Amino acid sequence: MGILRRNDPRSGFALLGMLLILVVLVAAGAIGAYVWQHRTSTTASTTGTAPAAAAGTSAHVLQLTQSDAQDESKIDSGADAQAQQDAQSANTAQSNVGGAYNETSF
Amino acid sequence: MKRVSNTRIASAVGVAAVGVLALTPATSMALGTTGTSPFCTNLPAKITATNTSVTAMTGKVTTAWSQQDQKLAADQQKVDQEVAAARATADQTRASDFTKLQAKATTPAEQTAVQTYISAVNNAVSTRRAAYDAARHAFRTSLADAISGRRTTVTSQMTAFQAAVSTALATAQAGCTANPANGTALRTALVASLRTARQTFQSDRKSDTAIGTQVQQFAATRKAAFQAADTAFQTAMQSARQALQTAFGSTSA
Repeated sequence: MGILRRNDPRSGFALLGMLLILVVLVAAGAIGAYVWQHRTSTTASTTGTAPAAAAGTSAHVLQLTQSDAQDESKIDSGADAQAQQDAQSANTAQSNVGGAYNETSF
Repeated sequence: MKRVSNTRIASAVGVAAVGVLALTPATSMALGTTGTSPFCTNLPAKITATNTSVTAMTGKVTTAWSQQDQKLAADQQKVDQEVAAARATADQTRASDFTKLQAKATTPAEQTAVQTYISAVNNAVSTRRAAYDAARHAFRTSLADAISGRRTTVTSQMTAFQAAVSTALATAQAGCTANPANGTALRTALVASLRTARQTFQSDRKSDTAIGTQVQQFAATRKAAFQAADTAFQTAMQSARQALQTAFGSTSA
């Protein structure tokens, strides 16, 4: 009456199911660990690993000015998608000229 | 009996149809009462409608270009305002740091060193900002040139399209004047000409999207200019900082 009886074919399926669940759990854990590690390293690289310098020091001035430059650059790059959209904003009107008539209606 | 009856009916209908066709003038299906084909009769109205439509559509292109200019100007103005605001904030924060640095300077040598440092930092910031402004200006000039060039090309294509349409319509009109009964052949020729004109113009439109790629290239150029300015800025800042630390005899400054 044991769970895994040698001659019961269902016991083989139960074992297979447990193994499958185990594999899924291990895979999910591995993926989770990878994502967590990736996010941690990404956050570190974007925020900068250097600790914030004390205010009123040249190190702080350096950090501030570097940050200012990055912010300014982001303003420009952030507007690029809009500039691209603006540059193509007349394309529809240009294409519509070709649909000014239906020659088969003559 | 039923089959024989149907055959007779079919024969009678066939004979009647042949008789009607024989008695009817051959041109009656294509011509009006004056001998003019329906195509030629309707052509002047069709020409007017087509010309009106083409003119309206090209007018919408001009309107779209005007709106495009306004949108670009507004978006660039928004960038300028954001940059100006960011710079003003940065200036205030930096000034606050400078004040604290000046407070640390107790000897005349240190005070002089702080002043030198402040000037060097301000110069480096000004130089970096000027380089950014130049790169931004170059980006906008390139964008404006690309759009202008594109419009010149599209204008030329629209002119060619309108000319092809006008020629096709004029040819059809001349054909109707010369031979009003020749509607079928004239229509076939007109439809083919108009289709070719339209397809040529629409095929030209494939290159319209190229300007999107150009914008990306301009942005990449601007970004490279920004990075070059950043590198020079870093060098100047490090140099100024080193001189200050030397004057203070420590790295606390």
